[in-house]
Parts: sequence; C-alpha cells; structure tokens
Amino acid sequence: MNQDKRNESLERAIENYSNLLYKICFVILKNEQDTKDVLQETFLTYMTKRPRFNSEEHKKAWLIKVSQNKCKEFLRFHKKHAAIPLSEVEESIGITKGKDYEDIEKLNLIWNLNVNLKSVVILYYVEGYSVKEISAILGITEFAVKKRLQRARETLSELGRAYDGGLVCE
Amino acid sequence: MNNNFDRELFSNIDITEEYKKELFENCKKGKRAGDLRFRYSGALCALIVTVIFGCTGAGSYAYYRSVQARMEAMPETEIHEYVLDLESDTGVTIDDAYSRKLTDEEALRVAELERKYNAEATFPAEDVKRVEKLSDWDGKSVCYVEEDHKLHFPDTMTDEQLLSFIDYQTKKDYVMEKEAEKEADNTPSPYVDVENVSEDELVKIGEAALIKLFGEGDFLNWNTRVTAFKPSSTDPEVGKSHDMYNIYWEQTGGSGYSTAYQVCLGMYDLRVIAAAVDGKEYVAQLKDYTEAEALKKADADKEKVYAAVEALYGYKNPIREKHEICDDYGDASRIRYVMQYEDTYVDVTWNLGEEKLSSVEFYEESYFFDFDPETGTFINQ
Repeated sequence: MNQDKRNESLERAIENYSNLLYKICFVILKNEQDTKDVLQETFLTYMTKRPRFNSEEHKKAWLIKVSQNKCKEFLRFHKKHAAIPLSEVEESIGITKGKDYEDIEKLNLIWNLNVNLKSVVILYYVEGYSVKEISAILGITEFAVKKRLQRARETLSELGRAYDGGLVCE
Repeated sequence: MNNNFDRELFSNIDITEEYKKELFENCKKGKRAGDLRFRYSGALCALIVTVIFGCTGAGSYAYYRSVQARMEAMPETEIHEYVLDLESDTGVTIDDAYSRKLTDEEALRVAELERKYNAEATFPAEDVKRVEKLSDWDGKSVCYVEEDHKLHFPDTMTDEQLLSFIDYQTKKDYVMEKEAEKEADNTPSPYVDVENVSEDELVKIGEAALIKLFGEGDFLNWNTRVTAFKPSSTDPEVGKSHDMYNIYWEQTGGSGYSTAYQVCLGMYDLRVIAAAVDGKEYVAQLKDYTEAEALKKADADKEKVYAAVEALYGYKNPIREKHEICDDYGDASRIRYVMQYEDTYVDVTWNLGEEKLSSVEFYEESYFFDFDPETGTFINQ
C-alpha cells in the first residue's frame, strides 16, 4: 500500500471509529488529555502495524482492543493526570447536559466502576457486543467476561443503593 | 431505575471535527502522544535535575550548577525554538527524531561525554546548526532540519559534535520539563516524601537485591537516589499495590545514556518488586542478534532462564511462559520472558550474549499477562 492509500485508510478509520473509541476510552480514563493520548497512540499503531482485516467489524474490534490495551498501559504506568470526578467533567464538557435524572445516575454509576468491569459493561451494554466477541476483543476467556458482567451488576447494584436507596440492576 | 445502558447515555461525549483533523495530521506524521514523549524525557530530566541539585557525589556540585546556569541562560528565542521542535516532534520512537541511530560506539562515547558535560561542565564550543531545508545541510555537521523536524548526523562524529548533540538534547529536555511543569501546575503529584523508613534503610535493602541479582560491583559506590511513588494518593482507584519506593544507583554526572541500576520496593512491606540494570551505555555493550537469531536463542535459553530464576528466587516449574524481544534502542540483544508460577508472575529480561538476567520484576496474582499476536505486545488482563 503506498503512502497516499495508507493516509486514506487512516483518515477513514479515524472518521468511522474515533468517536466510538473516544467515548469508551474517556469513560475508562476519566480524563480528556489521557483519552486523546490513547487515541493518538491507537491510530498510530494502526498506521505503523498496518494490520489486515477480514471485515469492517474486525477492524472495529481490533481498534477497540488496541485502545483498551493502551488504556490499561496508561492506567498502570502513566498516572500523570488525575482522574476527574464526573461533576467536574460536567462543568467543562457538559457530559450530562440534557440527560434526565435516571441517566445521570447511570453515568455516575458507570463512572465509578472498576476499570476492568467498566470495559466489559460498555462493550456489552452500550456497544452491544456478545460475551464471545468481548472475550475476543479483550483477550480474556468467556467465563471471565461473564464473571466481570456479574461483578459489574453487583457493584452497580451496591452503588445504586448508595445513590438512591434502591436496587439499580438486575 | 432500569439497567438499559445504551449509546445515548454517552451522547454528550463527542469528538470534534477539529480534533479528528488534528488526530489525522498527528498520526500521519507519526507523532507520538505527548504523554509517552514525556515518559521518555521524564526519566532523563529527573536525572538531570538530580545531578544538578540532588547528587551526593561530593566535589562536583559547582559543575552541576554550571549546567543549570547554562540552561537558565538560554535566550527566549532559543527556548521558543525548542518548544516548536517538541511540538513538531515526528519521532515514533525517540531515535526516529534523528536521521540515523547512534552506533554502539557512539552511544558509549556519548555516555562518557555526558558525564563530563554534567559533572565537569565540558560544553561544546558551538550549538547544533539549524537549517530550514534538508538541501541546505552540508552533510558534515550535526544539524536540525526544520523541514523534516529531525536532527541530522554526519556519517562519523567527532567528540565536539557528540557534545553539541548532548547539549541540544539536554536543552530540549530542560525545555520539555519546564513545559510539562506548566501543564502539571494543578495536577497532584504521585511523588511524595519518604516516610516511616529512612532512605539509608531503603538503600540497604536495595543493595542486597542488586547483589543477589548481579553480584558485588562498582555500582555499589555510585550515587544513590530514592523516590517515593504513591499513585494511590492522587487516585484511590489505582490501588496501594502500585505504591512503591524507587532506589537508583547512578554514576556521577550520568543521565540519559549512562548505565544505571534501579530497585523498586513495595511501600508498605518493603518487598522487592523489581531490580534492573539499564541505560543505553549498558545496552550498547551487549551482543546484538538479528531478530530471527534472537528468537531462536530465546527458545534455546528458556531452560537457563528458568534455572536462573529458580536459583535466585526459588520459583520452580512455571505454569506458562511468554517471551518477546526487548526494545533495546533498535537492537535485539535481550529477551523479555513473563512466567507464571501459581499466584506469582515473574517478568525478566535476559541478556542473550552473556546468558544472564538483566532485570527481574514480580507481579501479584491479579496481573495476568498474555501476548497479543495482533498488536505484537504483551497485555495484562
């Protein structure tokens, strides 16, 4: 592939998937600058590794996988920026703007989840991936995905009680 | 409240068209994320700051102050040039910021000259040249070309030219650190004071770990520096297992290129988390292999690595193991092995030429490592 085609492929990948990756990584990293760094590193990996894909879905899953790995690396090694509470993010980018009370509570719950659980919750509930697909994307067993979903539901439930005194998730 | 989490929940988290364009332009140029760039320079700058202000090497303090004075005497126009260089840095790895990789001989020479630069104030007579276009470069000087944002090296370099390279890099890192400080003004630092234990005690424990791994050596007489890294103080989600003391053994005046040793201790139990030798000077002295040779030898040496880990730390019969070539500044001279022993993970680097461990790191049960064949990297789950 020549340079022009590579640039074209990069531009298309950014156009199609940067928004999705931004949402997922932002919720995980809770910091705009770290999220931008992760996205840049993810698409740079796409540009330098030049992977071959069987389909658009494969490409999407690959990008999510790489971005998740980068998020983990960031969280492990680069605590340069502090994670920012949702209320403060709200002031700067209006994350809950126009949302009803229930959605704001849900955002709060997810915001405060453990990072491993958060990845699974977002991919399963928000992106609609199956347990098997998440297992492939995150490189963990299907059992581990189910276990994390279960733990996430339990945690959300506990957090939910703390928030409004009621059971949040089944 | 129901548990229907859907895409709409995150509808306000949006990327702007402007940022998409910026992302494309940055990736197209191969520009790395700022944080990773700072990661590399951070270590270097920390060392520079150490040699200038915090080194215990007696007698050289005045010289270190000379480096600091040289940095502070930079005119605003020069600082601005470095800021622009940093913003335009296209290097995917730090060495990509140069027209070619330094040879092992040059790296060793740079390490030697860098110590003189820092400890004896041996500065170059001239700064690196700057030109707009590559066609303007004479091919004989060390020169920054604005057109491709790279520092260009001639085929062979004199000590004076290597000194001008060191000077350029030191100034650039100084400016980068200053810029990072501005950015981090309101960010709580994960670095805290050493508490509840003396630095001498930490050094003693660290020395024992180094002697166990490398045997007695000259490094025991080098300067020591202790930092307390406590990320849980700024983000409780990180967990206290990441809180640690880092102890460094550094040569007088040594910074980015010099061989240095490091030991990490758990902050609460003072157990050894990691011990290592590193630095470009160290790597430049290792025997280089082609990637294919290195991987073949990695398979052949596996049992020797297991035996070394067992002899030193008592771990026997790993349940599983993964390995990859270390990124040794473009050379293949060490292999990283990650081994699982029941509930402990041991992560080592193996010096292929000498068949010795050059680092060891221990992880808790919660870290499970795997190798991602698609991205070509280790991942932890």
